[in-house]
Amino acid sequence: MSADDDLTLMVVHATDCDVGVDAARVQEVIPLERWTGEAALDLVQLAGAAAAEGAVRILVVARPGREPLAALVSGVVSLRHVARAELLAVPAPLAAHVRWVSHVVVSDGKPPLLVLDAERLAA
Amino acid sequence: MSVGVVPAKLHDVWFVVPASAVQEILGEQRWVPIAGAPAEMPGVIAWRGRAVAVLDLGPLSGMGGLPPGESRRRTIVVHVDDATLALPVDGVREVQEVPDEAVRKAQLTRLRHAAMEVELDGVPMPIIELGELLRTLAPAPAA
Repeated sequence: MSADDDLTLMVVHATDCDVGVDAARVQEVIPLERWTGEAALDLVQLAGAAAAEGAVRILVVARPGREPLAALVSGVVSLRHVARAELLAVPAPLAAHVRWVSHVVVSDGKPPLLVLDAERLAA
Repeated sequence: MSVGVVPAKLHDVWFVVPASAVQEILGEQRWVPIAGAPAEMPGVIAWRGRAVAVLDLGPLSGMGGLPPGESRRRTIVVHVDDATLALPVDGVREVQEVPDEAVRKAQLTRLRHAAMEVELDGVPMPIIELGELLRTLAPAPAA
């Protein structure tokens, strides 16, 4: 399997799922106390969970043709490698309602992973 | 002429879906809740290498939605318009062929998106209009 067949995601843990951001798009990881930009989007809250204890950081996520997205994460941030074939696109009827998730990954023995759709999120 | 229907049960209430829409009947399926999704379409299941939206009839029938982490014993996968949907239910019976004249306007059943009903073994069951339901939940984007 080539590297192109895999995607590396920066992952934070919510209550019943993980939320991932394409690591290749993460330009910077900044401690919250050093963040001077506008209000960031809380990824764990977006996933419907309470913030985890631990360090709070801002992931600066590149978006083609737009300002980068500032995503706030709390707790452990880990890397998870998934095969692109495992990425299941959110079906159209649901995508009309849920603009923050592009794909889901369902693997046996692991929490489901929701992949952030940085491009469809409002600025 | 006759029409094929698949009777299914949610809690203690029976309803039918058109057999022509049914792709597969599965057992209990793990589903993935997605925050921000409507109660009637709260998440997805993985089916045949893709994600399929879960259509929960509970909120539509006043019986409450499917809580995250819980599932139902059977899952009916249906194809309607251009979409595939997964309906978690508590029970399913075999396909029934009913004569056209047995399909009548809903008189004894009351369920949103079910204007018609049939009576099977003495039990009136609403016929879920999946296309109308889908168009209500996920209207096509304006051209």
